[in-house]
Amino acid sequence: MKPVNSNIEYDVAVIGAGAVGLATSYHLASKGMRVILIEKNYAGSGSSTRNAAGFRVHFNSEHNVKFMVEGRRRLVGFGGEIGWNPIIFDSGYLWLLSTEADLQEFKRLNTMWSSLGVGGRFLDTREVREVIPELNPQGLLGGFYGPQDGTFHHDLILFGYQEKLAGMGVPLLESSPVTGFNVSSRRVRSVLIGSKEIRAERFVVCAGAWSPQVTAMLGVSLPITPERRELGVTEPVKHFIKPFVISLKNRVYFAQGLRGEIRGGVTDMFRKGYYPLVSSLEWTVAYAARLIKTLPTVSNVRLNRQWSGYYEVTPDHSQIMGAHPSWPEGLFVAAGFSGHGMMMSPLAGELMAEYIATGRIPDLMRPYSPERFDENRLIDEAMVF
Amino acid sequence: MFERLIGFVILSSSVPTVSVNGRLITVERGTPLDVAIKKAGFRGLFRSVKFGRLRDIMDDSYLYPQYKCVYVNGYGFVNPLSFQVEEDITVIIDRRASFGSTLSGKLPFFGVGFQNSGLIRTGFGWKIMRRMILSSANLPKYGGEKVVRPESGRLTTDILIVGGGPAGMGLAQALLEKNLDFLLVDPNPTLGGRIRYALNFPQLRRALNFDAEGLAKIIATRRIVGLFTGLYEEGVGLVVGQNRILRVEFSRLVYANGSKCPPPLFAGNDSPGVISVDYALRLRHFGVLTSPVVFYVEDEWGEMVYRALKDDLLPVLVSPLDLEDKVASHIKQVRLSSKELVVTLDNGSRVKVKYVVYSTLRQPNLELPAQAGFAYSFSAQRGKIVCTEAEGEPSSNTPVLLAGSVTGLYELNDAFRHGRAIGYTLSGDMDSALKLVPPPTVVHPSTTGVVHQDAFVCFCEDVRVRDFVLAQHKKLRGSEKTKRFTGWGTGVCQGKLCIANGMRILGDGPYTQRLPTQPTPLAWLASLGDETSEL
Ligand SMILES: Cc1cc2nc3c(=O)[nH]c(=O)nc-3n(C[C@H](O)[C@H](O)[C@H](O)COP(=O)(O)OP(=O)(O)OC[C@H]3O[C@@H](n4cnc5c(N)ncnc54)[C@H](O)[C@@H]3O)c2cc1C
Repeated sequence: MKPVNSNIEYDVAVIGAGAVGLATSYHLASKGMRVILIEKNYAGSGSSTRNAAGFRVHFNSEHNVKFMVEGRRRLVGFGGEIGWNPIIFDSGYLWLLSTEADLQEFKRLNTMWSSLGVGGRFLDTREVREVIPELNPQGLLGGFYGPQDGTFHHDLILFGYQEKLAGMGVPLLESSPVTGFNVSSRRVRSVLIGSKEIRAERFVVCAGAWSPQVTAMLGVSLPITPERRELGVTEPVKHFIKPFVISLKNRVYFAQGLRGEIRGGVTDMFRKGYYPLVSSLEWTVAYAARLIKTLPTVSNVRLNRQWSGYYEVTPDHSQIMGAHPSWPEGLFVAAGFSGHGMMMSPLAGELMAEYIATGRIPDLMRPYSPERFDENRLIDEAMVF
Repeated sequence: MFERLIGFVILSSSVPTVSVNGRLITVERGTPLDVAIKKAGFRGLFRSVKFGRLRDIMDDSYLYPQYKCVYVNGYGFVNPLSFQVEEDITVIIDRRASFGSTLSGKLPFFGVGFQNSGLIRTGFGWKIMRRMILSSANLPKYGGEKVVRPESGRLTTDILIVGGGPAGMGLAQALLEKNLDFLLVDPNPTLGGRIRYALNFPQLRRALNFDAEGLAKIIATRRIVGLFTGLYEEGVGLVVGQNRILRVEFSRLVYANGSKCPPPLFAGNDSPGVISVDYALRLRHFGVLTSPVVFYVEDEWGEMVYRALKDDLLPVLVSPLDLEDKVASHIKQVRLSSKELVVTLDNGSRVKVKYVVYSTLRQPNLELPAQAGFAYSFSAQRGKIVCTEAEGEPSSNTPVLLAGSVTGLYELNDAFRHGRAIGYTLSGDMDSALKLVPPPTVVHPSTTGVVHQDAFVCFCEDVRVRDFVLAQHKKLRGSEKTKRFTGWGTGVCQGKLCIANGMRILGDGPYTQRLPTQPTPLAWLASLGDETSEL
């Protein structure tokens, strides 16, 4: 095949312009590297415009907590650095606990969280209802409140990076699905978009749920499975739900955005595989019922919009960042954020860029190497909903 | 005449006089009518949504009377937010119009669409802004009110017609004549769609020469009062009425719900240039359907549309039918490369096109997965274009058609004929259908005209033309990004009132619409499931 752009060479070609790909490209370009970003559809068309836009430091795994303690700083600092305010709302997360077992579990976790400086507060039923008086107290044992957590708006993160990249002259090729690679002497030489060839030194796959499709073109299989999740938004109503609420018993989560809309989903209904991103009635009915059960006062509020998107799930519900010795040289992956990649993206991009630019794995990133799956060093992450 | 209701018009020189309920003022040419009305001393006719929400903005007639209260001689009822004054006009305002907040006019950053508030840097300004948003006075408050528990039920029919305007009635009439099983859904107590407005304006009614009442009587036994809220993955739909919610099952669905509605067909799908014939008509109407095009014609309805468009577009015709000018019989594969579709035909040839227009009673869009960049190929086994990369499929693939002005083409009597033509097509009587297909009127909207920066594009989210301009400056181009930047079309009307405005300005196709196409109370949705018993 005759290269179209044989004279242009890049230091890094980033594949996938979701939050992670955009952040990675931005940080690479800031380090003076020549970067090109390749996107199948339009920037953000994957999961990054379809999420609930919550952020939290409270995870089950210590690694993830540490990652997000730092990640949270990047989110909060985003407006100052990039110039677009991602509408950060430090509203806190409120877990509604209904069983003694849940309570004990959170007590155990809070010891770990406190040791990392992000302990939260246990609330009794009365205190929970001081936060949101409208909550249904039935069967409620209490709550756990994480004041370090909150919500933001994903679109503004994406816009901010896009504007920065345009300003730095980084090409963003949209409507350009990667269709293959050229490899010689075990080194990836170029990436193909149909008949167009782009040569680069390194290739970072940030294709979210589609990453296994991209690496499969190099014979590399990645343990990432798409799970179709649905999400709904109501019409705007006067603001009355401050925190991001998760009811373990009713298997529902919700938050109220600054526009007044209540957005949320259910925690246990999804389809595994690349299912069409349409909306199902089954989900709609379940979500409505569970939301009302948790917050009866919203019965009359109308559901306004719903959509679906893929979680990109790995066996240990944590991202894959780095390279593997068995892969062709020049291939890197930052994907598989398992339903919490939006909040992690600014930091993830920074760490990936640092790694690629210096060859040294930053400490925060070390646990997420792709080698953990064959070395049985899985990350203990169960707090995904 | 009706075409001008939603149009932006090219400007010329002299200063027009506007008479508003008898008060005379002059305005600059191109002034949006709402601005002119305010200038005439009628305060804040339209509330800003964030600071003065009108809850029931949605239903085409009785639920948004505020959009129907402005009558302009020679134009009929107009939406003053997207109507610009170009000549001397006489405006009659119904005094029942709601007077709302004028905040958005006074504080510019409140009027620029919520999302743009992201442009306010973090820090103190943001804290204040956030507080103002949170305490914004006019959002409805919830709690303590009586919950209306709707009656819920199920219905099954062969053909479901959505909309009882001229197109829906024409269709119903043909199906009735052919003795087919159908139901017609419309929210209004009186059938007739926009023709009903003519009832108050005798000249208009006479000009239409249309016996709405007579027809309504005929099909009265086949109608459900309520709003259809969209097609779900399971192939079923919901109808939301005054006090009830119905789950409706059908084997074919026809949208005949008027020109203000975007084709709800596309709800939940992002379609990359593989479009239906009906949608092709609509895009051409907005001047965005451009050659080269492949037409895949599988049925008579598609053939009719092909004939109507072929001189303009010179399409490549592919069809399993025995048609004269066809080039191949099947499409083997459709693949998206940068900005174009590469179509491989079964005769081995390859063509690069902008659109694949797919003519079939089975709309392909419903089964295209959301992501562009998937490959599509023709499945002879299933008789349709399918996505080759998606593993799963929606539980059902319901055939969907569009009738009347929902295609963006037909008005009133023409829509009536169009509806009848589809009805006869569904019953297999092609001869009768062919005679009725109205020629599509080609209207090229004047996107080249100067558009007033203050003209509204989207009322639910307070998006004005200036916000679109800002998006362009920020290099956020195309429908999807503009939607996300401005909030255009994401409010309670779900684009019904504004998608056309935005498409004209951008010269781009539509963004993905979301279900439900009509906001539906959570309690009503919950009442359809088993989990309610636990409540
Ligand atoms: C319903 C839902 C709720 C969520 N809630 C939250 C939340 O509250 N908080 C949070 O932090 N996260 C949340 N997430 C997860 C979050 O959205 C994702 O983890 C994050 O967006 C992943 O970003 P990404 O850049 O890795 O992937 P994506 O945004 O999916 O980007 C991948 C990109 O790669 C492109 N691509 C694919 N194949 C190719 C190819 N062959 N060539 C070129 N480009 C290609 C795609 O088009 C896409 O744009 C949620 C997700 C869903 C679905």
